[in-house]
This record gives sequence, C-alpha cells and structure tokens, in this order.
Amino acid sequence: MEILRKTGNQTGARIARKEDEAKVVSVRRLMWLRFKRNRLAVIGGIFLLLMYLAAIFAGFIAPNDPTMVHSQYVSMAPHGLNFVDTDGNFHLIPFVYGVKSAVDPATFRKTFQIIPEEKYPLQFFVRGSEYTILGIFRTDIHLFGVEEPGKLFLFGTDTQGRDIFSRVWFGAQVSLSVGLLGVFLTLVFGSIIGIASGYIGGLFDDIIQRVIELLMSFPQLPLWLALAALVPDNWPSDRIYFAITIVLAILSWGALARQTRSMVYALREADFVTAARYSNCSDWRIITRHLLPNTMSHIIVIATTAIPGMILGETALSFLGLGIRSPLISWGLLLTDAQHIRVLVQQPWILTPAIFVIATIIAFNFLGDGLRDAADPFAK
Amino acid sequence: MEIQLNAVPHADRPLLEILHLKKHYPVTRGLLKRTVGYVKAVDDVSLTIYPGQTLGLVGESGSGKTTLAHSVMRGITPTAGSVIFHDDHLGPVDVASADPAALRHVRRNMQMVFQDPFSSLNPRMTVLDIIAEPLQVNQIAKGKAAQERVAELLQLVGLRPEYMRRFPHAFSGGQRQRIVVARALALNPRLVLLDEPTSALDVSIQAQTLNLLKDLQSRLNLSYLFISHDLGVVEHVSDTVAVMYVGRVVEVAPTRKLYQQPKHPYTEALLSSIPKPDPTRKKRRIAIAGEIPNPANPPPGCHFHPRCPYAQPICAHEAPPLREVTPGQFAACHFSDELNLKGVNDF
Amino acid sequence: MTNMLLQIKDLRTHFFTESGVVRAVDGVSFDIAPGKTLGVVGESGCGKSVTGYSILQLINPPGRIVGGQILFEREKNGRKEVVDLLKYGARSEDIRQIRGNEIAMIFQEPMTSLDPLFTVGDQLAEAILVHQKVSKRSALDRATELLDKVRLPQARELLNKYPHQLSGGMRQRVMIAMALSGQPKLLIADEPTTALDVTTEGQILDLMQSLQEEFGMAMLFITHDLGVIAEMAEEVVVMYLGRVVEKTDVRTLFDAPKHPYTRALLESIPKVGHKHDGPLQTIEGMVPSPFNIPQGCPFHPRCARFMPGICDEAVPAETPLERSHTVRCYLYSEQAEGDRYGNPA
Ligand SMILES: Nc1ncnc2c1ncn2[C@@H]1O[C@H](COP(=O)(O)OP(=O)(O)OP(=O)(O)O)[C@@H](O)[C@H]1O
Ligand SMILES: Nc1ncnc2c1ncn2[C@@H]1O[C@H](COP(=O)(O)OP(=O)(O)OP(=O)(O)O)[C@@H](O)[C@H]1O
Ligand SMILES: [Mg+2]
Ligand SMILES: [Mg+2]
Repeated sequence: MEILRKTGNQTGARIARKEDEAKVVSVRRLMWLRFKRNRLAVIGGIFLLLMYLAAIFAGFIAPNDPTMVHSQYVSMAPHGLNFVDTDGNFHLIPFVYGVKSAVDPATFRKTFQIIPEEKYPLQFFVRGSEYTILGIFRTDIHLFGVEEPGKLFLFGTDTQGRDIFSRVWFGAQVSLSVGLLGVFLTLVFGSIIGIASGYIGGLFDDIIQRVIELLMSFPQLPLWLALAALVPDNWPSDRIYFAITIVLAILSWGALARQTRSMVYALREADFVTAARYSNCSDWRIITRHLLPNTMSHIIVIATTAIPGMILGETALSFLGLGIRSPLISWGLLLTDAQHIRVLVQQPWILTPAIFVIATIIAFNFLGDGLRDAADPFAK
Repeated sequence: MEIQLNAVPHADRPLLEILHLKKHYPVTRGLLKRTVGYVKAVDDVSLTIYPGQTLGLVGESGSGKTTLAHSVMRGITPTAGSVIFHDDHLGPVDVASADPAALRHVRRNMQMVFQDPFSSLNPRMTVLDIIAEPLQVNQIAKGKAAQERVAELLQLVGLRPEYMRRFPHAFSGGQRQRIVVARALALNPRLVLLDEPTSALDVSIQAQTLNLLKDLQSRLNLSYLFISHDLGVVEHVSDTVAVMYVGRVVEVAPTRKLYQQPKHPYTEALLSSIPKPDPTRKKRRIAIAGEIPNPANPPPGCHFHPRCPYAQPICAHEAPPLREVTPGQFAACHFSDELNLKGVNDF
Repeated sequence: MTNMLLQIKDLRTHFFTESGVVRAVDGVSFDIAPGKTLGVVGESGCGKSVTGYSILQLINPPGRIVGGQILFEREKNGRKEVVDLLKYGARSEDIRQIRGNEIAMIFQEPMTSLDPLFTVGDQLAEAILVHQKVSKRSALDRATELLDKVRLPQARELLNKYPHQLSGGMRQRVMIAMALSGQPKLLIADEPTTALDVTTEGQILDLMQSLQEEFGMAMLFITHDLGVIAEMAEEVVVMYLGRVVEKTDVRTLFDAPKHPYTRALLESIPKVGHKHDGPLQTIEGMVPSPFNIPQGCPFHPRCARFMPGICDEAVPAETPLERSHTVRCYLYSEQAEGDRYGNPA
C-alpha cells in the first residue's frame, strides 16, 4: 500500500539546520581536548608546573640559605617534623626537636641526639636569610621555618653541613632551566636548519644530512666531556652555565633538525602546498604560512621529549665535575657528594636530589606522550 | 611533423595547446645515483583545449595523467615540448619556457583541483584564509574586499558564507572539494585542471560535485581538463576525450564518437571492461590479457601490442603515430581503418 | 523456505568509542543460498565492511557484536547442522575452523593482508597448512595449483616473490588463491576490485565468477559500485547508515527499485553510453555523522519524499513486497519497527 501524500521539498533547509549544530572548533581546541584525555600527561604537566614554580620561588620555599654552612650539624640525617612528642602528647602544629651532637666514644663518629625538652613549633612566613626572586624582589620572608636556635633540615645536611632541602630547590633553578634554555637553542637551530634542508633539498640537504649523521654517530658522553673540558676553569659560574647549555644544545639539534626536515619534506609535496605555489605564493610565505604552522606542534613535542635528556646531561656533567660549579647549585652538583661508596652507605639521604631528577624526567616523558597525541588531533 | 588537432570545427581559437610534451624521469641506481634509464611518464603528448570546453583525460593508473597536468602548470618542468597558453593580454605564452613574470600571470588564468580533498586544504587555516590567499598574494583584494569576494565564491560553489571562519576539519569530503574549487576560482581563471576531482567522494556526493562543475563552466565560460579513470564520469562531463596508455595518447575524439565508435583497440578494451549498471548485459567482456606494462620498461613498438587481440607483427616494432582516422577522431593504431571495433553499447 | 547457507538475523554491531556509540550495523538481516552471490551496496560508512567482519567475528574493541544471530549451515561428521556463529567465542577453536576453511574473506587492499616479509609461496603454504595436515612439499604443490587456478602465469616463480614485487591485480589474485585454499563454502569479498584499474577489475571479476562456478561457493560481495553489483550479484541488499533499506533480486533492483534512497542512488550515477547534457539527479546533503543518526527513518533528512510527522518518528518496518523483495519505507507500509527501545510501534 502506498501512502500518497505530497510534501513540499524542504530538504535543503532541513539539512542546513542540522549542519549548524556542528560546532566550530579550532585546531588548537581539538588539541587541548586530546591532551586532556591523557591523564598521566596532565598529571605530569601539573607536576612540572609546580616544580618550575618552586624553582622560581626557591628562596621562599627553602627555610635556610643553601650556601650556609652549619658546622655543628655536618652530615646530619633528616630529622623531620613531629606531631606526637616523646610523652605521647599530640600537637596540632608540628614541631622539631633541638639537637645536640656528640661523638660516639667507640667509633669516634659524630652522632646526633634530640633534646626532648626543646621543641620548636613550625611557623609560617617567618623571617630568615635574605634572598631574591628572579633577581628582582629582595625579601627575607620564608614560607616556613622554626625559631632560632632551632634548625629545620627536612632532608638532612650534606658533608659540609648545608641544608639539602634548601639546596634541592636552588639546584632546581639551574637544572630545570638548563633543560629549557638548551631546548630553546636546539629548537631555534634545529628547526631553522631542518626546514631549510627539507625545503631547499638537493645538495644542500645532502650535506646537512651527512653532517648531522656524523654528529649523531659520535658517542654522546665522551663528546660532551670533551666539549665541557674546553670550558676554561676561570670563567665566572654564570658564563659556565651558558657554556654548558650550549654544549648540551650542540649535541641535540641534529635529531630535531632531522625530524623537522622529514616533516617538511613530506609536506612540501602536500597538495595544499602545491596549490599555494600554483597561486603564486612566495617561498617565504609557503614556509611561514603553510609549513611552519603544520610542523610547529610536532617540533614542540620533539623538543619536550629532548628536555629530560638535557637535564640528565647537565646532571651527568656536573656530577663528574665538568658542569656547573659552585657557587651555583645544580642537582648534578648535589650528587657529587655521593661519589664515594662510604658516604653513600653512611649518609644515604644525600641521594634525595636523585629522586627529584627521576620524578622530573618521568613527568617530562608523560607530558611528551600527551603532547604527541595532541599534536595530531585528527589521528584516530 | 605537426599534428593538426584543429580539424574539429570550433568557433574559437584554442585556449591551451600541449605540443609534443615529454616528461622523462631518470631511474637512478646505486650510491652515486647513476642514471640507468628513464620512466617516460609523458611521452610526446599533443592535446588542445578550447575555450568553454572540457577535455576529458582517461587512462589507467601510472599512465601519466597527473604528470601531464602538473607539467601544464609547470609544477614539473617538462623534458621537452611546449604548453602554449593563449592569454588575452600577453598573447600565446609557452608555459614550459616562460619567464617568472609571465608564469605568474599565466598561473592566475590556470588553476588546479586535486584528487584528495583532505590533503588539498591547509588544516591550520580557516576557509577564509584559504580562499583569500590567492587574492592577497596576487594583490587583487585585501581585508574587507577579500572577505566579500570569499563570501561570493562560497555562495558560487554552494556553501554558506557563514562557514568561512571554520577550519577544514569541520567539513565533509564533498564540502572540502567545493572549497578547493572556490579557491581555484578565486583568481577568475580561464582554465581549471581537475585531477580526479570526484574519485575520493561518495556516489551521491559525486553527482552534486559534477553538477556544480558543469554549472560553473557554463556560467563562467571555463575550460576544463578533466582527469579521471571513471569512464562514465568522463563521458558525462567531456566534449572531447583523450585516452592515455603508458605515457602516450592512443586516441582523441569527440566524446560520442570515442564511446560509440572507438578506433583504438585499447579504447575498446576499456569500454568493454566497465562494469555497467545493467544486469541484463552480463559478461560480454573482451578479455584482454596481462597487465599494464611498467612505464620504466614498456614494450617496443605499440605499447599495447602484447595485450592487443588484433596485434600484427608490425605492432611489435613500429610505434603507430596519432593520426586522424575519421574527421576529428585521432587514433594511434596501425589498423584503425581496417578494424571494426565495438562501442560501449555493443557489449 | 529453501535451505540457506547463511542466515543473518537482526545483527547489531556497535563501536563504543570515546566520543560516543557508533551503531555501525544496527539490525541487519539477510540470507545467502548455497552457491549464490549476494551483493551488499551502500555509500562509505554505511556498515558494509563491519557486516562482513562480524560474520567471522573479526570485530576488535571498541567494537562489539551486541545482538542478533548468524546461522550457518555446516557439515560436521557427514551431517548437516545449523549453528549460530555468534555462539562461538571470537577466539574459539570452532570459529577458527570456520575461518578460512568454510568461510573465507578477501579485502580491498591486499597489501594489508599479505605479510611483506614473507614470500607468496610461504604465505600460501602457511594458509594451506593451517587447515590441512599435509607436508610442506605438497602444500607448495597445492599452492602452485591454486596460483594456476587464479590464472597467474609462471606460478612456480611467483612462489618465491615478495608481495611488493607484484602489481595490485596480481596481489589480489594471490589473495583469492589464499582464500580458496580451504575450499570455502562462502567467500566474503570486501570491495575486492575498488583499488584496481578498469581492465584489471574486469579480469578479476571474470575470474571470481568462473571460480565461483568451479568451486560451487556462495559469495557475499561488498561494493559501492552499482556496475559491479549488476555484474556479480543475484540478490542485493542496499544499506544506509547501518540498516538494510531494500533487499531484492538484481533485476528488480535496477528495473523497479522502491526505496527513495535506492532510486536516487541509481539516478545519480552517470550511465556510460547514454550521454545527456542535463544535470545528474542528486541526493541532497550528505551522509550524517555516525554519532548522530537521525531519529526515525535514517534517510529522512535527505529524502525527496519526506513526510513530516511520520518519517522522523520511528524506524519503518521491513515490508515484504512481491517475491523476495522487501523495503523499509513508509511509502509502502505504515508499519513501524517493533521498537527495541520500548517505544510503541
Ligand atoms: N617524481 C617522480 N619520479 C619518478 N617517477 C615518477 C614520478 N612521478 C611519477 N612518476 C611515474 O610516472 C608515471 C606516471 O605517473 P602519474 O602519476 O602521472 O600517473 P597517473 O596517470 O596520474 O596515475 P593515477 O591514475 O594512479 O593517478 C608512473 O609510472 C609514476 O611511477
Ligand atoms: N574500529 C572502529 N572504531 C569506531 N568506529 C568504527 C570502527 N570501524 C568502523 N567504524 C564505524 O562503523 C561505520 C561503518 O563502517 P564500515 O567500515 O562498515 O563502512 P563501509 O560501509 O565498509 O564503508 P566503506 O565503503 O568506506 O568501506 C562507520 O561509521 C565507521 O566510522
Ligand atoms: Mg594521478
Ligand atoms: Mg568498507
């Protein structure tokens, strides 16, 4: 049975309405949505954000001056905050005990004993040593601390009696920024050379590729060591800092340039680039409007994944005494104390900075994974 | 030896003449990139396109259709031959050897539409930026004026101007292909090269796109070079059809003639191979054996002879020239006059 | 009813993706008789491939077959019995026995199903050894035989070649040879010629037809090309957005199609040999996103005969017309589908 009923043909209008409902999402927003889906990446990102913030405000977070030598408290184990005292009473505000040192008559080693009568409650926004934030703001307010003569060494002290907890945050300033600065240099070198090599092609491309191959076929560590050894001993520490970042960047731009080049190489043949050429676009315009925007997100991903390598590189160089030198502090430098097995066995807390190195590296890797997904928001 | 393709009566003089065009890619081997031979992707092709007309170009994959189109645009520099564009201002320009200024001018009059609508649009640019780019680059319109022109172009291709702030990923394949067409038309070209413009599209979307292209052609007096391997689509849109086989044109003729009375055995084989949407006409294919030869190493003589059911000894060593067999119909076969080949409706 | 080789009843395969549920196949039913060819046509994304994969339970997460029956008549110990393939687990020994042995499948892009690291001979012999207990040597002999069957010249030499050394047409022939190795009762061919050139396509279609006769197998032929359907199929189902909208024999499909979608589809292709200057008939709009299938008849937003208040309410029921012809459209019956969401029919 056929239902015969004439209907006006409003198909077009109906379809138009349907289409309107499709949202106008930018590529950037798609990327963000993709990134958000990766839980670990988000956690990694937040962790790193906190780490960098802490590094910037290191002076505020650190209760002690990182270079201050507490000669009575050399190589002291961490002595933490307590809520419950020796009598079993609960305190709402945690406190630290006073400590006195004694020499063990049998082993002649220094030992520390708490003085149960001396309790120093934790205080917030206390005045202490002076420091600057980003070299601009000078202040002496610290997030927390205890009243003199109490001492707060959350992670213990090193062989010279300096507060490891405070040194970790000041070390973060150097270690974390070396990664960023090094990667920035890598990014600039690598992407310019990569894009040029991919776009120009031909002999130029061949030469660049061979150079990169040569660079990449050297074993990294010896090359780093050799380059770092070239840095004069008598340079001031900040100049050494820059020299080290450059050393790190020199060895990593090759990989980035390579990947950029292969992306550009593929994109160069993409129909939209051909179309741009056929509408008389200049090479400059093609590079800046078509190639760069389509490779930038991938380049940033590659760069992010290079940061951990840089941090490890700095750590390794400083650990071996060829990197950052005092009075600057870096995580690698903090670990130099741990070179002797005797120290390690007796004072394992000296390794605490390594935990930060590991956590940061892992966080960067998680973040890199998430960014990689986000860089390709159209992939299934 | 000049081939006179102008025997068909046409009111106008030609818009584009492709004369003895060749593109040979070197085949290299080893570390030192020694040239060991050539892929003759396009091998001595001559074709003519008239104003307001469509030249259909069919051929199986690897026959050189895309290479030909890019050689016309000089995205690929031809090995030999010329591509004469008859420009209103500059007169005849040989695209193959034009200086940069002339090339820029000619490219405004010649545009190309690609097969894959997904790689034809920069994913990081809005539709507005994409279509306005040719206008800005060629200093035709900027800002508000460009925006108005984009709106006009979007309307022309049947998209709503409000879409111009969207990014390509928000569009379906068919809509993207419309955007590509709008971009190609931005500069008011005389000739559009369409490289398989519908083969990535669904059947129902293909019909919309074909109608749009025909409609635009009559409204804007456009000329098309329409490349496809779908013989039904090419028949529908073309005035003249050229058939390519391994880099050479084997037959050129007005559409109806080519489909009803082909003069080259390869054309006949193609026509017989098309699966026809008509269950009453089952299975009457001319079985042509074998496969398309490797273009780096094609058979001598007529490239088609190893598969040709009518091949004679001469075909194996002498390449037949393209010659006029009936008025307006050119075929490259030694036996075009003797053979009585079947048309598409005879199978 | 005559005995059927394969009966699909109300098959539903859904993909549970992060952006929502894709009802890729949503209530598909059809039968295939032994030795016959059933064609499945429809536009991209309508669920043709997923239907084919579902039969062999080759659906991977996030996809899942959520309902229906796939009744297959198999011979076991000399007795015929009808089994529901969905009762077997996707990794069970039974379904493995059926795959390749009784039901084989070939795909659009043969390169994805051939391993580039092994020679043609290795892969063919492997396929034979999985199902038959013979020596490696006789498996290779059998492989040569199969390559002869698919009319590949110089079969012996071909055995030592790698897939990338073959042309597209040759690869597809190798795939067919592999599919035939178990002498299947049913061959599922998912767009086997879409990636091929016209002349090669013709050769492969001819080959498949003659092999079908020789082996007496049934075929489920998936394609979006109505020309190929006309040539290959005896019965046809037309799919749109995961549903069968029309089901009939191939003559009727081309002579007297009933569903507006089928009609529009047939009119929108340029008919070779019948050049005219007018525009082609088109279907307006585009296939909706699979996440957003319209309510009621899925075709209603594009349908030229849309009836407001009827077509956009409930899914029309499958209505039998004459003989084996059925159609899902309110133009032919007011009956709505007995709704599985508890809505009144
Ligand atoms: N850059 C290149 N270098 C070497 N050979 C090439 C190059 N580009 C194309 N070819 C070869 O030239 C021949 C013609 O290729 P072309 O792309 O023009 O064919 P086509 O007719 O467009 O095919 P299709 O239908 O597959 O698009 C092919 O054999 C191809 O391999
Ligand atoms: N793995 C998957 N995950 C999510 N959705 C899927 C998946 N596979 C298929 N689909 C969806 O299922 C629907 C049907 O897909 P299917 O591959 O069966 O289409 P088709 O008819 O074979 O199309 P084509 O002609 O393009 O091959 C589509 O909407 C598709 O997006
Ligand atoms: Mg091509
Ligand atoms: Mg499919």
